[in-house]
Amino acid sequence: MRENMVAVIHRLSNRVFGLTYRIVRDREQAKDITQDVFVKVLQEAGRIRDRDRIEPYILKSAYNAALNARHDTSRQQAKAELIGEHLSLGEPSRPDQHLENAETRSRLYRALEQLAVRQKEALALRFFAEMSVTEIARAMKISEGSVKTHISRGMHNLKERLAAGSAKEI
Amino acid sequence: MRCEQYFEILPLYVSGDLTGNERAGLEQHLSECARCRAELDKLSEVARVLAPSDDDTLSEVEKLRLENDILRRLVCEGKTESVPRRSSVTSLIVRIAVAAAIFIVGFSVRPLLPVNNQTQPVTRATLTDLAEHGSDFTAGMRFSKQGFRLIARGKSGLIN
Repeated sequence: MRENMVAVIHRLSNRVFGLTYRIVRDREQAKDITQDVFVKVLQEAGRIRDRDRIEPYILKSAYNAALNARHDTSRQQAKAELIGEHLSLGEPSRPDQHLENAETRSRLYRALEQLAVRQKEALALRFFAEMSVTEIARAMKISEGSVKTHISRGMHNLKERLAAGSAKEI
Repeated sequence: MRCEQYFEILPLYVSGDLTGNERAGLEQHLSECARCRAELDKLSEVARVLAPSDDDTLSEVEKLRLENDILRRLVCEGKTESVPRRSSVTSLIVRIAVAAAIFIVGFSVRPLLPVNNQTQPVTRATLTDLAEHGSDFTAGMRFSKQGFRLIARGKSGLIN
C-alpha cells in the first residue's frame, strides 16, 4: 500500500507543481502548495483504492489550493496598493524574463483570469496539469462532452482576449 | 459538418482531443478553408504559450527533495493507514536489537573467515595497543566479502 502512495507522489509531483506554479507564479509557494495538497489528500484517502480517481482528485485539489493562494496574494496586493506600497505581485516573483515569450505568457495569464470559471478550470487542468479529457470530467464531475465544450470556448475566448490586449497596447 | 462547426472544434484539434473521424473530417475541411486555417494558426500559438516550459518543471534535485518532504510529513503526521508508523519506544528497541545482532554476528563469524592482508582482525593485544594510543583512534564495524569485522584506525593508519 505504501508503494502505491510513493508511486502516486512520484508520478504526479511534477504535474502538481507545474499546475500550481503557473497559477501562483512563485516557485517556493508552488512547492509548499504541492506538498500540502499531497499530504492532505493522501491522509484523507487513507488507502489508495482507485488510482483513476485519486489522481484527478489530487490535481483538482491542487488547482483549488493554488487558486485560493492566488486570490490571497491579489487581496494582499490590493491592500498594499491602498497603503501606497509598491509591490510587484501579479507578476512572477522569479520573473521568467529569460523566456522568449515571457511577455506573451504574462498577458495570457491575465486573459486566463478573466475567463468564465469552468472554462478557466478546464483549460488549466488540460494544459497546466496535462490531464486527459476523461480525467478532467471525473475531477469536475461533468461529462466529457461538457469538458470539450469548456476547452473549446475557453481557447477561442482566450485567443480573442489576447488579440484585444495586443490591439490595446498598439 | 458545416464550417462553423469545424471552426468551433479547432481548439480540440490543437489539444489533440478529437476522435479519429473528427480529425480526418477537419483536416479535409482545413485543406479547403482559409479562414479556419488562419484561426488554427492563432489557436496553435495560444496552445504553445499554454504548454509547459522548462521553468514549469522541477529539477531532479527539487523533485527528490519535495517527494522526500511529502513522505516525511506523511510518516510524521501519520494519520494514514498507508504508511505504517511505529511508536518511538518500539523503534528504539528494534534499533538496539539490530545493533546487538550485528556485533554478535561479527564477532562469532569473523574467526571462521580468511584474513584480509590490509585489515587485520582486532585481538586482545591490539585492543591493548589501542588503549595506549589514547583517544587517537577510531573503531567501528566494516562489512566486506569476508563478513562483518571490528576495525580500528589511528592517526598513522590502520592499527594491527
